[in-house]
Amino acid sequence: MGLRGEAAVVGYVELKPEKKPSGPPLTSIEQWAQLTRLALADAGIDKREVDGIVTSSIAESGMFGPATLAEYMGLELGFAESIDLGGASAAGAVWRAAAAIELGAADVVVCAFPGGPLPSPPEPKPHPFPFGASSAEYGSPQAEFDIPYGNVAQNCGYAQIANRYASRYGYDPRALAKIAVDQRTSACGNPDALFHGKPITIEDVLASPMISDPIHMLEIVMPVAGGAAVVLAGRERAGRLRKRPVWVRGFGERLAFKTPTYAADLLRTPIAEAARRAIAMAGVRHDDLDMVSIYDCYTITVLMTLEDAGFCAKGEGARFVLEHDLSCRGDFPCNTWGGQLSFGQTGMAGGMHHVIDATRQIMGRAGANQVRACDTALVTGNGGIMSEQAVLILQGA
Amino acid sequence: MKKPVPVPTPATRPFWNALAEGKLRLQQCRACSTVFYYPRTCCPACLSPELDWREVAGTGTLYTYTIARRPTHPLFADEVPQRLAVVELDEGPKLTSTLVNLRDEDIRIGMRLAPVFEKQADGRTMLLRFQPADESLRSDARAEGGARQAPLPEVSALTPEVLAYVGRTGEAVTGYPVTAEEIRRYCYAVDDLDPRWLDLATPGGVSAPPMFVSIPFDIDRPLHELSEDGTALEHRGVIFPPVTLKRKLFGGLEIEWFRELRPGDVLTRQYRVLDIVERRGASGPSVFVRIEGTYCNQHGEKVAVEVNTIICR
Ligand SMILES: [Zn+2]
Repeated sequence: MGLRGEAAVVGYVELKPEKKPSGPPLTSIEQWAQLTRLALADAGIDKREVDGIVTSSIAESGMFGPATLAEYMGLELGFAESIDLGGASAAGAVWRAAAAIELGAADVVVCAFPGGPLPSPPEPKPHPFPFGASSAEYGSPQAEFDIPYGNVAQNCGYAQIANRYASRYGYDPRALAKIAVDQRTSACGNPDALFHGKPITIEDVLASPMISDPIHMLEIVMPVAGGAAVVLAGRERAGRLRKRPVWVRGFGERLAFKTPTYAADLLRTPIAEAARRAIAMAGVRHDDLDMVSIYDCYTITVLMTLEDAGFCAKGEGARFVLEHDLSCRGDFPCNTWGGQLSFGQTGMAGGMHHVIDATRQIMGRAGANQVRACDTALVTGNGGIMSEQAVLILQGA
Repeated sequence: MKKPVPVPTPATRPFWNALAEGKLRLQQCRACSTVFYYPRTCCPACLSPELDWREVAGTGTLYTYTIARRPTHPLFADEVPQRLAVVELDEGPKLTSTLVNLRDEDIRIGMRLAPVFEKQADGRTMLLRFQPADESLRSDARAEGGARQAPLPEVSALTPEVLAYVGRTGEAVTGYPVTAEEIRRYCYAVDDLDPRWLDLATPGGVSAPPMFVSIPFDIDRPLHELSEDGTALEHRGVIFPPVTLKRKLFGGLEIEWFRELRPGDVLTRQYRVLDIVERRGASGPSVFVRIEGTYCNQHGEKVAVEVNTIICR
C-alpha cells in the first residue's frame, strides 16, 4: 500500500516575499492563474496538459472554488481538490496530487497557494475571520469555549505547548534560539529572503521582546505577502522534461484536534505518526535523508518535530540542536532557504516553501545554499497549533 | 466590536445555565462512562447520544499556561498580561480558561486550582476562571489593577430563573376524542375544503388537516384567571418562563407532521422549552422563547411536533 513513487514535482514558483507589497493587489483567482503560468513555465509544460488542481480555499468563491478556477484559466480537469489543513495544506496537496496521478485521475497537477493581498471591494465588508484561525461563527466550539477567554491566534497555543514541554523535559532557551540563528545563516545566502543580509545571534533572539512566555519575537514568523506553486507529473511526462524530477515516495498525515486544550497529550504531537508512516512508505532510514525542511512557524515547532519525527529521542531536542549545525552549510541541513522564520510567512503559501526548499535542493538549483549530493529529503507541514500534520519523503532517484 | 461572549446553542445551554448559577456541570456518557468537555450531543469516545449531566466541584490542576505580553486580539488588550491556561479537571477533561487572583511568579504547572465564577460586563454571561486552591497563594492582583474591574452590568431579562426554564417540560395533557363532525366544522371555518378532510367516501376514511392538532384540547380557563397579557401562563401543561417584559408577540409556528390524525384518535400533548434567547435593539431588549409541543396518539405514536416562537418585549 502507499505511493509507488511514480509521480514527481517537476516545476515550481516562489514569489519574492514582501512586507509591503509593491504590485497591484490581485484576487486569489488572479493570483492562482499567475502562479500557474509561472510554475508551468518553470516545468516546461503547456497549460493544455494540466488536468488536475489542488487549491486552498478561494477568497472570492467560498463554494465551487475548483470549478471557478477551471473556468477562469480555461482548464478541463479530471481531478480537482480543495484542501483545508492550514499550514499542512501544501504537503497535503502534494501527496494528494501524486496519488491522483498514480491512480490515473490526472497526468499534470498544479498545486498553487496564493499569499498576496486582495483588492478591497468598494464597500468594505466586516472581516470574514475576525479571530483568525479561531472560528467565531455561532455553534463553533472555539466561539463558545475558547475565544471568550482570549485563547485566540497562534502565539498562546504554541507558548502553552512550549511550557508543557518545559515542565516535562526542561527547556533550554538558547537551543530554541539557535534554531532561528542557524536558519538566518541560510537566509543570508538567499537574496529572496526577507531577512537576507541580517545575521543574528542567540543573544539577539533572547533579547527580543517576550511575546507570550516563553516565546520571543525572533522565534515567531513574520507575515508577508507572497505565493508559491508546484507542478506534478507522472513518470512518463516527467521523464521527457529537462529538470531532474523529484519523486513523491512517501507521505503521512495526522490530525485529531483543533485547539490544543483538547489534545489528548500535548507532548505527543501528530507529527510522530505522520512521519512514521511517510518514512515507512518510502522505505528509507533517517540516515538516508540529505536534508529536511521542517515547518517552522515557531522554534518550538522545529524542536518537537525533530524529536517526534525520530531524529533524536524525546526530550533530547535541545541537545540535538546544540550539537548540530542546522544551516545549509551544516551537518544537519534544515530549512536551507532560511525557513519561514527568516524568509517570511506567506500565509497559506508558507507550507509550500518547505516543499520547494526540498525540491530545489534535489533538483540541484539552490545556488549558494546547495547541499552537496542531495537525493532524499523529508518535508513537514504543520497546520493550526501543532494540530494538523503532513509529512512527505521526496527523492531524486 | 464588543468583547466576544459565549452564545449557547440548545445543546450547550444547560452547561451555561448551570454556570450562571455558579455550578459546573459536565456531561457523562451513559454507555462508556466517559466524562468530557465541552458539551456535545454525543460522547466523543463512543458517539453515544445517551448522556447525563453531572455536577462537579470544578477543582483541578494546571496542565499548561502562557502569559501573553501582547494581546492575543485587540479586544483583549485590557486583560494583558493574559494568563491563558489549560486546566485539567479532577474528572479528567481539560478546558480553556485564564488564571486569576495570583502572582505570575507563583504559577506552576501541576498546581492545584479552584474555580472562580466570574460574571461578565453584559450582566448575564458567567465565565469560568481559576485561582490557586491554596489560599495563601491568592492575591488581590485583579483589584490592584482597578481598570480590570468589570463595568456595571446592563440589565438583562434573562435572569437565572428564566434561563432555568430551558429544557423544562410541562405536564403531558390528554385531549378529547377527535370526531369527523369536528373536523368538518373546523375545515369550513378555515375554508379548507380538501376532500381528504371532508369526503367520508375517501379510502381509509377522513383525516384531519395538519393545523387541527391543537383543536381537541379543552380550553377551560375562565377569562378572569388569565394573566395580564391575556395568556394562560401555567395551565394544563402550558409552560412559560417568568419573563418580566410586558407584551407577547407571535413569532411563528412550524409543524412537522408524522402520521394521519383520524376520528376516534385521542391526542396527548407535551410542551418543552427549547431555547430562550435575548436580542437587543434600539427599542430595547426582546426575548425569544421557542417552545416545542409534541402530539402523540392513543397508541403512543408521534403525530406531530410543533415549534412555537413567542417574542416578549
Ligand atoms: Zn461514550
